[in-house]
Amino acid sequence: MGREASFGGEVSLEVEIEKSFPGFTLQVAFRAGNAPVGILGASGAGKSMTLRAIAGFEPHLRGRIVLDGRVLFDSAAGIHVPSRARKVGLVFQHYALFPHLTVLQNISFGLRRLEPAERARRVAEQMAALHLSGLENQYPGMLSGGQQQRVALARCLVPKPAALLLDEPFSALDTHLRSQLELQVHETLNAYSGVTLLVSHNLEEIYRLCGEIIVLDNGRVVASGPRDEIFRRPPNVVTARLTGCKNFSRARIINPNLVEALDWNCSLRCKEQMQSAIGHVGIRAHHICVTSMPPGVHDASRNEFPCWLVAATEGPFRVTAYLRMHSSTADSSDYHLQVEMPLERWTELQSHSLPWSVRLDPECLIVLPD
Amino acid sequence: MHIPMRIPSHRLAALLPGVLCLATFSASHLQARVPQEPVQITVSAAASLNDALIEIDREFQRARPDVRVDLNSGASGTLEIQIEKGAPVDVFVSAGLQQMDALAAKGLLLAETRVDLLRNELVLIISRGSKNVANFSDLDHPDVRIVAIGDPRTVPAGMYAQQVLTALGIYATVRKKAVLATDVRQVLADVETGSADAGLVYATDAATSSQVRVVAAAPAGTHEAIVYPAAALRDAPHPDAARAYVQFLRSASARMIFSRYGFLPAT
Amino acid sequence: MNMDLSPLWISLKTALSATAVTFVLGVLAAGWRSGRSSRLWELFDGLVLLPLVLPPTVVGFVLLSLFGRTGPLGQILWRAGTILVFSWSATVIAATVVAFPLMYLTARGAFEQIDPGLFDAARTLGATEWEILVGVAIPLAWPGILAGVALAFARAMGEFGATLMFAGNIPGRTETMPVAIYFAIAAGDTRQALLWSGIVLVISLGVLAAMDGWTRYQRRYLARGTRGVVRGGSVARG
Repeated sequence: MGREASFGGEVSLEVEIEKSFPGFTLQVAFRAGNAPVGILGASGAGKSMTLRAIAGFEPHLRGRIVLDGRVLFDSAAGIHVPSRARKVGLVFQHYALFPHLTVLQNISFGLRRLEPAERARRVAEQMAALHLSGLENQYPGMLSGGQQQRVALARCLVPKPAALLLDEPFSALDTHLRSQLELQVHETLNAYSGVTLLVSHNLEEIYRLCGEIIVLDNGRVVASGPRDEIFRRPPNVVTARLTGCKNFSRARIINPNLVEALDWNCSLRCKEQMQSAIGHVGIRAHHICVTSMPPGVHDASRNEFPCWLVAATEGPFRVTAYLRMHSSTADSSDYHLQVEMPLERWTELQSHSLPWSVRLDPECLIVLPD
Repeated sequence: MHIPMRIPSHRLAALLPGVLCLATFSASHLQARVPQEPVQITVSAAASLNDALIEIDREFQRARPDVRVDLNSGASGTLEIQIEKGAPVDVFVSAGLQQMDALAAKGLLLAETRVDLLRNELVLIISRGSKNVANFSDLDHPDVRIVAIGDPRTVPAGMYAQQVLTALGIYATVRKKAVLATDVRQVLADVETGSADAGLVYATDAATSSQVRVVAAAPAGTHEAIVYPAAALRDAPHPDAARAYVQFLRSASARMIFSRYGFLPAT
Repeated sequence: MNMDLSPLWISLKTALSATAVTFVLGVLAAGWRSGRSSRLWELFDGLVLLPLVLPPTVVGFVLLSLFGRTGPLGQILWRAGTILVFSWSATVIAATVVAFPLMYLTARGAFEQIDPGLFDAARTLGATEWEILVGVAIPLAWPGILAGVALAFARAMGEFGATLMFAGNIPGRTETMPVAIYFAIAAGDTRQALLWSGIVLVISLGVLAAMDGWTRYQRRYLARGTRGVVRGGSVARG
């Protein structure tokens, strides 16, 4: 089995699964408690497949899934609890609301066997919590994207599942709606007391909603742990890339605090110690400082170097500048660093001639052992 | 609040006719083999005898009010297959000897009840308007392009047609320009519409159409006697009533009705 | 004119019964089949296609071979005191066998058009496969299923070859309208043949029109983005 992720706190969900078919192998093992766990990964990394496996929709699976002490799946023992008995709620990427039923009927769907009065009460309660009151008799086709998402959530939560799985819950929404709904979902997750898994390729959503993160790459767990640790000290290049780091260079150790950045043609002082002889060093685009210091005054011990502008893309509020260190070039694809800065900074820099000065703060450098 | 799982009432209403029919179906079925008075016999008879037999059955009903007759009309070949497969038939009246002989060979007849009931003649017909065919040997002529006959393998009239044409030595030629029909009605239709220049049918069949003209009857000795045999079946559900029916078919009143439709007695 | 109208009633009874049976069996089979694949199901599909591909007379012959007194099922029924051949039920069986492929294939097509995610969602919400069939699949496939019902009815009404072989031509019991038409033509009574043909046409058109109307009524509730609440306070499912 690959790397197993384990978080502190009481364990409610244990997953250890494997599935392979030509071209892809999924091998995931982790445990989760009751705090929301984010599953981060690129498209095709196996995130949705993992959720579907927990819900019971993946055939030809091997391994074991235990939720709240109940064995949902154990291929060795021949146990395969059908989806309807797993008490796992899944919010689908495109919501999968029943188009022929009203909002009320959709949300009540999971409580068919409950007696009517209690069912009505629970449904009304959940609808109020998600601000859906008044929409009872509408059909899903009449609702906005945000409303549909909340109906899908409500429908999932009403039967009080033991686990709540969210598959890219915001991907189908317009950007400007997302922050509103994020807040709503955050509140909802706080109120919900079971295991929560949230799958996304959007790192900011994951960071904001989840306390712990698992990173999947090509079907395997490549990193796991509290979100701050994953983001500040990613354990490998893949994780660093998935958490948004844009600048990488192959690196060779000179001494534990000094590395030679091979792709950047310089030596860098790092606060974090490099453990292996060869690896990578990285730095986030917004951690790089660019100033207009006069030439000749570059302090190598502070990782300062002259730089030339190769290309830039201007956004409404931020600018991404592509810089090359040590010498200039005419080729617009030959850059070392991708830097993000506020528009004001950029405007100010424009008034100074090249070369500018770039500083890679030793505290911000990420040392990667692979 | 409406629960999504129940089938809505207007859909149930749609199922109602189906449910009623199923109920009728099962009810009518439970009575299948219980012997009741009156006794009901099934008579499988060649389609060409249908009209005559309907009248005869009415007479039979008067003579034997305790027996009800269900008349199953069809092509003799089909009727034979049904009997072989164990259909509940009491009496079989065939339009040809072939089918009856097949059943006899399989031992499915009450042999002593078998009788040659009627006979028929094979005639040559042409459509009312045409003129160039006067007798059987004219069929050989290149001007006659299409001749309609029943399929000799399955239609009794077709078999006899083959015999006649073979006896006259023209079968091979005529066969090349023959259109084979699955039943006599098709032959009549082909000639009526002019699709075929001529056709070979029974005299009784020709009589049913006003748009064809009989130009000749098959010469004596060119074919086996066209005989309509009747018999009661070994596995008849009601053998006594079956025997009585066959007997009645040979009676004077039955004969009179048959002759009105152009069927001559066999003997 | 004093015409025996029994073929009309027999045909109606037969066609309605056969359609009802075909509807239940066809929808159940299609519902069970959709989304699954195995050698056994492929074999089933092949068998189902046979009545569609073979001449009806052959179908009738097969039924006769099975249910005749000498046949395997016939013997069992004979001992139980029933004879199916030449009974009215035989007309229903013959019509059902030839109509079933149409219903089954149409219903299957309708089911397979539905987003399978909806079924998965229903499963996570605790629905059994039966509840999914009745509560999600059938309502969403309804227009397609109705089309299948219309096809099945039309086929059952027009069924001739298998009926003739298996149920026989017994006036008052198994003589359906198509059989009556055929024998009217055979006897040279074209007038009666045309009359019966006209009646068959009127009935079939009437039923198709009714189905069409119902489908349009249904579709309003499945269309996305329709405005307006359905009916007062209570929700009319449908």
